Formats: sequence, structure tokens, C-alpha cells
Amino acid sequence: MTPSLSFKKRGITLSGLSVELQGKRILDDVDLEIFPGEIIALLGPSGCGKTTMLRAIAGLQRPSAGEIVVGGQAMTDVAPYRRNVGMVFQSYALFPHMTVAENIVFGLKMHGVAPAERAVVLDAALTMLELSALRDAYPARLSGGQQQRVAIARSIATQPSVLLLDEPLSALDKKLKDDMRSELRTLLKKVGMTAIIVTHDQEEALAIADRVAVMNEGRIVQIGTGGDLYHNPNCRFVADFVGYMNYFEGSIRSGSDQRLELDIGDARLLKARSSAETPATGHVTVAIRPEAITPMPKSAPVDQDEFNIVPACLISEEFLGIVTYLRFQDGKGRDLLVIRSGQSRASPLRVGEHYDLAWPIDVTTLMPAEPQAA
Amino acid sequence: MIARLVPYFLVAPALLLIAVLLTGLSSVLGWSFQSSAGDGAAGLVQYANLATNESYRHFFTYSLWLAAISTFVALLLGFPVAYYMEINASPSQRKWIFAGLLAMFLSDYVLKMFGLILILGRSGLVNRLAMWLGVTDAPFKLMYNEFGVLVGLVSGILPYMILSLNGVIARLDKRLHEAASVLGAPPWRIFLLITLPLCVPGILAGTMLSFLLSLNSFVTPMLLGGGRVDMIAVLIFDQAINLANLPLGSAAAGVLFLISGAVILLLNGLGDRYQKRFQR
Repeated sequence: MTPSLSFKKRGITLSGLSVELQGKRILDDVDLEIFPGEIIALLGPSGCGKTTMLRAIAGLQRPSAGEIVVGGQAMTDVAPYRRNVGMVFQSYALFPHMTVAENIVFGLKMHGVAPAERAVVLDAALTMLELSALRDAYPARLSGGQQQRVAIARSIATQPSVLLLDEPLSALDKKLKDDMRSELRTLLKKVGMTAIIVTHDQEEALAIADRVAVMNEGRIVQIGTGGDLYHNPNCRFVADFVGYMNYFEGSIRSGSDQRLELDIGDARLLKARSSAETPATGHVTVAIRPEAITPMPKSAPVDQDEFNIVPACLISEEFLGIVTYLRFQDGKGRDLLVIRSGQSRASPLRVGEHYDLAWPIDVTTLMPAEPQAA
Repeated sequence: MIARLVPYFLVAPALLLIAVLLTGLSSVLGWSFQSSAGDGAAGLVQYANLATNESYRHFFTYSLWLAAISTFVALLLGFPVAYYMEINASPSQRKWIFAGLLAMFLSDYVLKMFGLILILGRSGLVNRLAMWLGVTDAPFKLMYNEFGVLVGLVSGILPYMILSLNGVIARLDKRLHEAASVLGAPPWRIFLLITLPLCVPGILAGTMLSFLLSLNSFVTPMLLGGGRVDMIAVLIFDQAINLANLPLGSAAAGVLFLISGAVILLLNGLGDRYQKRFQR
């Protein structure tokens, strides 16, 4: 037998999944289709139900309604120890009284795998996660990064159909976190497992996952690739969670099948490309990413057909190395953030001066207006 | 100047108390090297007497046996209580169980034994119930024998056992159980492979306390054993007080002291070795 681990790729279907705890709806009627071999990130603030969803799939949390299907098999009423899913816990939950090797083979023992075969899988897992030198160490003597690798090795040793990761990087310091991010994706793609990773860190979600499901108050608000969420957020919640965003509240004044004209007050009109989803009339929120905006000198000629322009005064400048944050305020007192690359060769700006903020009409995002939330 | 002396004033009462206790203990040890006739030093005669006399030896082996049995029973009974209290009980249930334990702790030992007499006696609660139900015609003999002493010992040490176990069970990480479950371990294997090994420090601490309390027990064999159950403290009392053979009684106390010390060293050593393997 060659020392390698093989995995069956299995899809996961959640339909109408709800979880209630002490009369409170933690998870509210969630539908989700995860394709075999796909990495999905559940992204949201704490208390949004993302960990509860993970625990329900693992069988650690009983759903109050709905179905969980893994690889075509109904799992909703199956005990956790019969599901064969892998799970990496937030603080790893390594067994402190067992060595690295004992931790890794624990699942194999529970599944009745013969000792000879256990040894083969153990060697493969130790090699794959570069833990061979630590096989007889106890978890308390390992660093955070090493503990995390043991937790991953333990969870994939039984060759589970899906791998669930609960905030797997949150216990690591910043530098290690960044390293492990790409390492984790590489590893998951190498073994080709279907994986769900829970995180509240948008960078982590975008870096590791194929698709990201943004969650709020027990529901999936939007699901898509990182690009989808970043460039076409369907609401302020998603836009705010994935990067920074500037907003104007406004109403649609006139529209054709190509262009919409938007009134944002102050006798100012913005233009946006119309699409199937945008409403024809009524109140809307106009959103622009800070890095899409270019500050221009007042006198500079701008193509009014291709760009939106808002005059504003530069309030402050923060140089952060990779980028510079420029904070502007327009005539109506609206704050606008502009992010400029640190490498930008554009002429320096002066605080207190007025500029024309310009951005392409194509990157002007429209979303339904919503009551001013916190 | 005065400020520097304050700590010494504060520890003085404690030091005095320790000095008094050590004086008592060393005078007992001193007596154990005297001859029974009261005519001066006799070396290890009393110890040799204890070692060679079959009936004296029986007090020691039998006491060790009763202490071991009662400790084991207390562990079997106490573990589920401690586990339920820390893991399953609602906050109000937990409060009530704790109040019960505290009552067992704080009530006087003699009082507790009299309570057991009311339950186990010839016309005690158990026998009256058994006869009323027609289980038996003559009352069971539930005390003034080994059974009665064991019940007394177990009820005496149970709160110590439970409170020793509480600590480790409260510190059990629930996620370890969940991790084991997801890895395919059914509940009984989780208990054997995760819960129990992680409770070993508490089990050892509870075992040490309980074993020593049982081994040194005097009130229980006197009241529930009627002085007829051969435990070491009874022997010491008989020799030193009833038979006025203070040297032999002192020697028995010395041996009990040595056995207790050995038990502490052994169980502490085991606990240290177990924990050093995987901590830090």
C-alpha cells in the first residue's frame, strides 16, 4: 500500500435547516448546496449562526427542522459518531493525554481499522503535515501552528467525506495566520476534500474558499465567489463585511435600458448601469469601493459620460505603507473614503483643498435602500 | 522596624499550634519505645510485638482491607454524583446537591453515625420497612458487624470523594468529547478513553483522602461496629486507654502514622508521574 490518503468527494445539501436554542432561532430556514470537492466559507459576525450550521452538519447540534444530506445520504438523524465527517475545532480540542500519533490514529481505532493499516495512514498523515518529528510529543508541548496541523491530521486520518473547520486560524498570531491561510487551501485542494470553513475574517474567507456564504441573523444573505461578493454585493451588510464601501442614499430619477440617473440630493445626479435586478424607480443605495475613486484637481477635464463626479474636500491622509487612506467630505457633509496604492505616482494631495472625486459609471453598484442600520 | 516584625506576629499562632501538635506526636512516638511494665526504654520491643502477634497484625491488614473497599465503593458511588452535578445538572439542581454535600461535610461525625444507627439498627428504618413489606420475619443484622462499618465509612468519606472529583470534572473540556464523538467514538468509549483518563488526578486525590480517613477511622468502628470490628484506632484506644498499655498503643499509632505517610507518598508520586507526562 502506498502511504497516501484518498478521499471520496461528496456534496452536501442543506434544505430548510433551522436550529432553535432556548426559543431563539439561531439558524433560520437555510438552504445551501455544496458541490463535491468545493471549499465553502461561512462568513459572518459572531452569533450569525455559522458555527451552529457547522455543528448541525457534524451532528453536534440537533436541527429543529430541515434536512442534511451528505453524498446522497440523509444525515439529519444520524449520531455524530456514525457520520464520518472530519472536524477541526476552534482551539483544536486535541486530547491532552495522548501523543501526536495517538491523537491522529484515535479516529481510525474508533472505526475499527487494523493496526497495520493504522500505521500506514499515520505515516502518511505525519508526512503530509510535516509532523514526523513530533509523533511522540504531547499537545501541550506544541506551538499553536503545530497543534493546528495535528488537529487537521487527526480530522483527515479517517478519510472523511467532508471536512468542517471552525475558525481554524483564529488562535494563531497574525504572521502565522497569513502563512497558514494559503497552506490550508493548498492542502485542501491537494486532498480534494469537500470542506466548510467558518470564519469571521473576510480575508481568510476570500483567500481559502471557492465560494463564500455571508451570514447574518441565522440566514445566508449572499453566496458567491469572492469577486461576486466584492464587486456585486446585494446589500449593505455584505458590502460592509467584505471590504470598505462608500454610500450615497438616493432615488432613481430617470432610467433607460442602459443608464439610470440617480438623484442624491444637493442638486447632484449620478449615473449607473442598469441591470435586471435594479429597480426602475424608488429609493436606492449607491455604493462605490474606495479604491475605485480617483481624486482629480478641480480644473481637470473628465469625461462626464463615463465617470461620476462628486466634489469634496480632503480632510485627512493616512499613509499605511501598502496603501494610503484619504478621507474626504462633500458639500452635504457625507464622508467618503478613497484608498490609493502606496506605489501611486499621482501628484500629492493637500489636506483642506477641494478635489473632484471621479469613478467609472461601470463600478457604481446599486442596492435596495434599507432603513439606516447600526 | 515594627512593620518588619508584623509577619512574624501573624504566623506565630500557627507556628505555636504546629509546635504543640508535634510535641504531642513526638511524645506518642517516645512512648512507643518504652517497655509495657513502665521500667524504662525497651527499643523496638513494642513494634516487634505488633509484628509477631497474629491478632495484632489482623487489625492492620483488616483496616487496610476495609479502607480499600470503602474507598472503592465511594469512588463508584461518588463519580456519577460528581459527574451529574458538573455536567448534567441545572444550576438550581447543582445548588441543592451542593447544599446536601455541605450538610454532610459540616454535620458532626458522631451525629452522622447516630443517624446511620437509626437507619441500620435492629428496629431501624431498613428493618422496619423490610418486615412491613414481608421481606423477612427476623430483622437483618445490619450493624455491629463489617457491613455496618462499611456503610459508616463510605458515608463518612463520600463527600470528600465527590468534592475531589468535582474539580477535575468541572475542568473537563466539553469539546474533547465532541471531538471524540465526531471521530467515531460512541459515548461509552468517550467515557473510557477521554473522560476517565482526564479525571485521574481527581480520582487519586479523592482516593488518598478517603483511604486515609477510613484507615484512621475511630468513631465508625466504635459506634457502628460496637467495638467488635478490628480497626487500628480501636486497637490503639483499647491498649492505651482501656488496658493502660500506653507503649503498645503508641507503637500501633506509630505504625499507622508510617502507613499513612507511605500512602500519601505513593499516590502523590503516581499523580505527579501521570501528569508530568503531558503537561507543560
